[in-house]
Amino acid sequence: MVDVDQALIARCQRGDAAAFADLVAITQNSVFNMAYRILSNREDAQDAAQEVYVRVWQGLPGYRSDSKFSTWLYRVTVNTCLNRKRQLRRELLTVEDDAILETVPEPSADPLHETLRNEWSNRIWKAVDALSDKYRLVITLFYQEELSYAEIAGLLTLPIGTVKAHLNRARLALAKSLSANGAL
Amino acid sequence: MKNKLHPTDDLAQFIADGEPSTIAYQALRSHLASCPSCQVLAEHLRMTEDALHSMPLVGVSPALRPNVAMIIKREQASIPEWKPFPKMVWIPTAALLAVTVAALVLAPAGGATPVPISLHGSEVTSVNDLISELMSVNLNLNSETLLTIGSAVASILGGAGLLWSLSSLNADDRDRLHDMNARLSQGASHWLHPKRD
Repeated sequence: MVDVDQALIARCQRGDAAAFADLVAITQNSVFNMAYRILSNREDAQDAAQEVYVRVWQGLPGYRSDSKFSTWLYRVTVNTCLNRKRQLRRELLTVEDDAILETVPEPSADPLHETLRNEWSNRIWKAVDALSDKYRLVITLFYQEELSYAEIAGLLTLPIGTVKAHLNRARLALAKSLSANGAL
Repeated sequence: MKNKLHPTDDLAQFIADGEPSTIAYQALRSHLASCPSCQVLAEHLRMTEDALHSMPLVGVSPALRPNVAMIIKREQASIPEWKPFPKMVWIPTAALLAVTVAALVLAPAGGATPVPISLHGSEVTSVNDLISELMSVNLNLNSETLLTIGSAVASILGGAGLLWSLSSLNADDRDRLHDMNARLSQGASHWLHPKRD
């Protein structure tokens, strides 16, 4: 996520709506994409992103600059999406055995992805979409948002070992799924 | 749970994080050198890893920004919800108000006439006299004197507490105070200059 200028945040905190529109413009790609990856639906992602920004607007007066704004925004986004998928919060706490990796379904055709330029990325990200919610969430945070293991652990309030286990399961599932579908 | 025959989890971690020279990874490397199925999996993991790093972004809906702007505008236009002040403000304020009210109610009807305080049979005429008399062992304070002293101490403490609270307000609290001030001004203005239809 692009880091947001402190002066812009200060203007938003004073209730400057134009400054907040700029903040939305800067961060909307990350927020919308994260919501889309978690919720796997464009309309739901749109609703969630709107809710995120309303919560950010309401919470900005209480935001303290001793923590990174992007970290706070990630937290609001993840919590907003997890509130819409309550069972996902519980699923994140469990690490399945290897057997689940053999049953990743073949990704179905999605018109949204037809516009993607790269066929290889298209296949990989279709496979990511076919992963279960919790694997998709950690893959998105690690590869799309480029957060560290520790940052993801802090964001999801999970032990680092659990985060690494989820990521390893997801990587193995993708490699095996693509291999089985002849993509590799 | 780990695969008993092939260290797949370690292999995935190994491919993703590079090749640290720990003993565990040295064991993994030696397994990899002698296991054809793990070599194939490692190659697939490497290709997957490369592809994951070049992730395409989904296009944001153009309606997002106008929708958010509209909601914010609506929020700004609506009357802000009343939020009570934090405890550190309203407790000293309430204490100060209570003391003021008590002093007004209990004040002698004569009002301005000072009531001489009598200690040890001698009349006290100054603060110095009062302090020196209070320092002596045998106090002979009546209830009226105690009430006066108690009210003075409570007023000082309440006032000091209120000043301390106001000096330690954060931005959110200050916003609430400004909001309350605006409401009071607006209310007073309506009361003093009522609209005539």
